[in-house]
Amino acid sequence: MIATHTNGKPAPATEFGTHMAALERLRRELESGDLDPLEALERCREAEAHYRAVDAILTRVERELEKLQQADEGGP
Amino acid sequence: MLGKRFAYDLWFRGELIDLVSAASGHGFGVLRGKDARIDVYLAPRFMRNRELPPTGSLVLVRGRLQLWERGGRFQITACGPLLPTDLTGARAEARKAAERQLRAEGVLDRPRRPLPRFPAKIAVVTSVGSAAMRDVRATIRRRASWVGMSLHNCVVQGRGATASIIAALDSADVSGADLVLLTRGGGAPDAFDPFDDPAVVRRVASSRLPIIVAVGHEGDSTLADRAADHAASTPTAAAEAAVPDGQVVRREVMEHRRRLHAAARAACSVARARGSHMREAARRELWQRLRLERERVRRLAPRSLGEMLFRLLRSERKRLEAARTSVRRLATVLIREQRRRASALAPDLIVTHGEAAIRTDRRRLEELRRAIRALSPVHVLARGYALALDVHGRAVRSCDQVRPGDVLQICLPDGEVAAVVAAPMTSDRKGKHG
Repeated sequence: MIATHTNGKPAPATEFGTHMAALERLRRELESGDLDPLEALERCREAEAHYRAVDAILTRVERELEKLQQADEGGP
Repeated sequence: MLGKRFAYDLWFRGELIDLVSAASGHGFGVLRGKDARIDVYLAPRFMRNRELPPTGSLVLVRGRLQLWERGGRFQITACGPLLPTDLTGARAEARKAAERQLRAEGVLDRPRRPLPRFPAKIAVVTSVGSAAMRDVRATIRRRASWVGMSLHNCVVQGRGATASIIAALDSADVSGADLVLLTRGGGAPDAFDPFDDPAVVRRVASSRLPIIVAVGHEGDSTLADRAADHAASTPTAAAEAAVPDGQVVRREVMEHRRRLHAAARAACSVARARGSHMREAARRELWQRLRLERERVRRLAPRSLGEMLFRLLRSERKRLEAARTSVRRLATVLIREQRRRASALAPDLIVTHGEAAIRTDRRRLEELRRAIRALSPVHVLARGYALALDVHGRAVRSCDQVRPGDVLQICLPDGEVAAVVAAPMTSDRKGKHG
């Protein structure tokens, strides 16, 4: 269930925003040209991890939306 | 010749036994003396307009003794009317005396027993072979062929007749018959004397079985007739009195049957109508009682089974409605909660337009990924450069950082290669040796 915020973990919304913000930040760092190649490589790897996390969140949201749609169509 | 010899008038005196006036006007009678009897013929002129002396009276008559050739016997042809006397004949006197005695004994005019209407067997007391017996048998067979007969022979006139008749009656009484029929045919009036005998009359009166007496023909009368349960004028009449006429019985039975059927049909019809009426009344009464009982039960026992079932049903229906409402409400809450959670999951997404928002975010995400990948050093390496890392993962930026024998990790666009430093070679040294 996506209500992970009820058991003390970061809420999915916060997690989503965090990942997206990290991605934005990594993009800006990479575009600045201040990083050496190794740091840039590490930033890219870090960005890839954020990317996969955001992708997982979006996939979960899509599933929830699909359930809502089915509930709307079936009725109570 | 004999007629001529007696062709002179004589006076005769005797007891008038019988006197019959024929339709032609002639008179025929019988005179009886102490031990003899003779017929008397009276011409019509001696019969007309005269009061005839009664039977049994002592009379005088003047006449001639003539032979009746066709009959073969002598008779008195009266030459004058019968002259009555005030005297009674010995036979008549004896008969009167017997009658008085028998009446005094209660033998005559005693209460008559009814005859069985449908006798199964009849004991006939008569002279076997007589015309009377033939008449009786023929009549019984004609009228009631199912009736059995037992014949008890007796002498019906003359000497020994009295004892014979009594013996035959005794036999008939124990024959198992239902009825006794004592009879004889016609004859001279004095031929019936045995039936005036007090012994025979008493035996007739004491018969165990109902008894019919028929002696002579129409007009003949004996004391036995008056002692019998039923007196008939002729043997045929006696037989007719003894047994019913089968044809009449059959008609009566058919008539009774018809009446019975009609009565039964009428009774059935009445009973059916009455039954229908009673059934309808009973049905109405039952309905009324049922309605009252139902009302009483409803009033006195509200917790009856029907009431309980009705209440239970109503309660269950309420529970069902409540459950349905609750489920609806819960489902609405759940949907609302899911919407809320979905919105919380991606606050920057418009959940109501979820798919479009997600597509937008996915595009945004892909753009970021492409931009980051475009900035990746991997692209520089693809142009022929390589990146050397020491065992600590730090980039080797100078030859001074390595010594011979160090293991380096060489990063290439498509992977990494582990390498061992043979000899560091600075750019200067490379120029001298070059």
